[in-house]
Amino acid sequence: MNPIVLAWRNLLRNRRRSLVTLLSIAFGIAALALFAGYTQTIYVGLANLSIHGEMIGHLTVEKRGWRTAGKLDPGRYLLSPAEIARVDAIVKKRLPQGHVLPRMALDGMIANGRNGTIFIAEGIDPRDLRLVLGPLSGVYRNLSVDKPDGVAVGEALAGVLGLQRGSDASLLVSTIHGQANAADVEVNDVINTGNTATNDKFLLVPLALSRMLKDIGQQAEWLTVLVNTPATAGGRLDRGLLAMLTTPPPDARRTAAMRDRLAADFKAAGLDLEVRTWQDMSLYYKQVKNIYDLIFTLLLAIVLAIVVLSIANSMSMSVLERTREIGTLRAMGYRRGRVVRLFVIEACLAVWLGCLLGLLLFWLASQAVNAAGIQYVPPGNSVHVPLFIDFDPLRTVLAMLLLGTLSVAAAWLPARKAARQMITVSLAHS
Amino acid sequence: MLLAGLLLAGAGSVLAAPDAQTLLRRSDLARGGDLPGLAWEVRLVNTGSGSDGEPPMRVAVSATRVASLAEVIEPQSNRGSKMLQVDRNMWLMKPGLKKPVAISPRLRLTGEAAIGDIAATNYAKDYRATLLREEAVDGEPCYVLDLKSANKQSTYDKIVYWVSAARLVGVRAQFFSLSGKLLKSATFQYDNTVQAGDQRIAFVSAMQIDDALTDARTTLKYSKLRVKAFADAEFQPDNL
Repeated sequence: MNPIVLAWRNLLRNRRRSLVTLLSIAFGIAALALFAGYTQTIYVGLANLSIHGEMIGHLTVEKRGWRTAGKLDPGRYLLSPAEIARVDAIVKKRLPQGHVLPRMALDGMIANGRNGTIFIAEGIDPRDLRLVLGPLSGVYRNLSVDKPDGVAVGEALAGVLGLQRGSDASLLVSTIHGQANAADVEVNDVINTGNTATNDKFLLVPLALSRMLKDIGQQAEWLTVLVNTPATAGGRLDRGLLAMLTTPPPDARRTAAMRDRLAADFKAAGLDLEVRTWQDMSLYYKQVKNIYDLIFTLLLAIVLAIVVLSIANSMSMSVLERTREIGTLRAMGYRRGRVVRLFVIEACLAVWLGCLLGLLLFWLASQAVNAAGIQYVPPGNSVHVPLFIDFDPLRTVLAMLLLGTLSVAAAWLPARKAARQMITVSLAHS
Repeated sequence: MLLAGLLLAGAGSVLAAPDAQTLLRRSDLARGGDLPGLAWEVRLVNTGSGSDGEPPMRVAVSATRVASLAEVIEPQSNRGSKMLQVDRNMWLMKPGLKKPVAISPRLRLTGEAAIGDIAATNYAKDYRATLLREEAVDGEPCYVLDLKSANKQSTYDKIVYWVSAARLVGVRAQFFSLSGKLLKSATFQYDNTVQAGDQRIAFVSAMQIDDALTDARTTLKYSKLRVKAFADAEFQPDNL
């Protein structure tokens, strides 16, 4: 008789026990797949948040020392227009589809005619802004190419000064030499930085305006490199947020390799520059990923322990109850190995069916959650993000393999013991 | 003869239009520009949306040609705070601080340090003057000077300065950013007198400073003026 059919029939002999075994495997797999799928969206979302939301891009290029000594003497660590052009040429050789975006930081006072408060700003060209925003571009107005004095103001800052789209304001800053400089600006957009700590201080300023205010000509403080043109989401917020959670960034290892290659190229060209990947820049991403990886491992261990114990229990009970059957089979001429194989095939069948059922449960649950459109505000954030569960094939398959192997082992051990018993002892078992 | 007459006429017209830089130097005197040592008291009142309920301040100031030290007497909560200015550097010292705090240019954009920049006395050193036009301020004929910063270190890149033709003191000023935007305007009165060598010269008695970007307004009243000799050590940050 086909061993699989035999195994199936044996499973059916004690339906309730078999069902419980099946369900415990299924729920274990479903839970692990759901958690892996959820954390997958968190990783992808955080990666895209760093690259597009925080406008870090894929790589950052700056003068060596800008980040440390440059804080006290920024004038000495600016990138001249000639240096920027050379970096652009080198990057385009390695990355023909890439982009190099000049960037600046700015801070000072913003006033509405009555009172003023401090602001911190980033200077970026409106076209470059759209590039680096990727899936989030077009969702908000931010900066406009045809509005050289249009700035985007953080929501809470706008609230404090009573500013809205179209309001006038003035910026007061110190130039790189320490002179007072000022400009009239118009509020082009009110934005949510997504971060409570910066929402009441942040401004986005066109690069040309920030360069004028700091009196640095055509220089830049650092360069953002994009390895390709990021896909947009048609300017729709819902599609944009979903794309942020499901469109993975360029492979981290490839980006790190590109960083090293560019660093070598710059050195060979006599440029003393530092290159970092977005992961090097985003401490938050690394910390969150480490924590979630740890939690997944913990969850995996707990689920494995519970499910495998349960299977071990039901399998050993099953073997015990069938001791006389084993004795009979052995008396009929079954070799020990064949007896053990009988039980192992039964366990395998239960595992495969359990995994299939688990995947089905996962699919149902994830569809339901994704369709429900639940939104929540992640810690430290001020924006609602959708609760979305993606499919993480790597970790789901890993979980199934581990669970499967351990479950089969849980059947193999008692079966082996029973098969070793003396036939007469087995037959005498009541 | 005719040539000599023409020459004289030419020379006369040159004399009639004063040298802008000389005018500037003269007007600096009335605000303490050239005196070896001077001490006075200032009463400072801030009004505007950003200063609700702020009490008036009373400050004792000592100044030489290149340095000044201001110590707060009132209000009681700020008593003992000191601000030292030497050339273009500023430090703040408060009782309880271990070391004085250097005030960066950015911190001088607003607050008392900004006032300090405006009440500074040595325009002739940091600015090059050209004569723009003649204009009357409150009926008093004035020379309007365009002061351009001689370097990139002065806080205000450009100042428009109305200097009284008769009294040779600056009665009105406007302070502009590098981009040419008006940042502050000020008016000055000179009802004090002080002994400078063998002369009695007019000295500043009051100032009104209006912020152009907000509705903040500061008025300063100068009193208890006296000439004093100071040791250099009094104007060093380590001795604050």
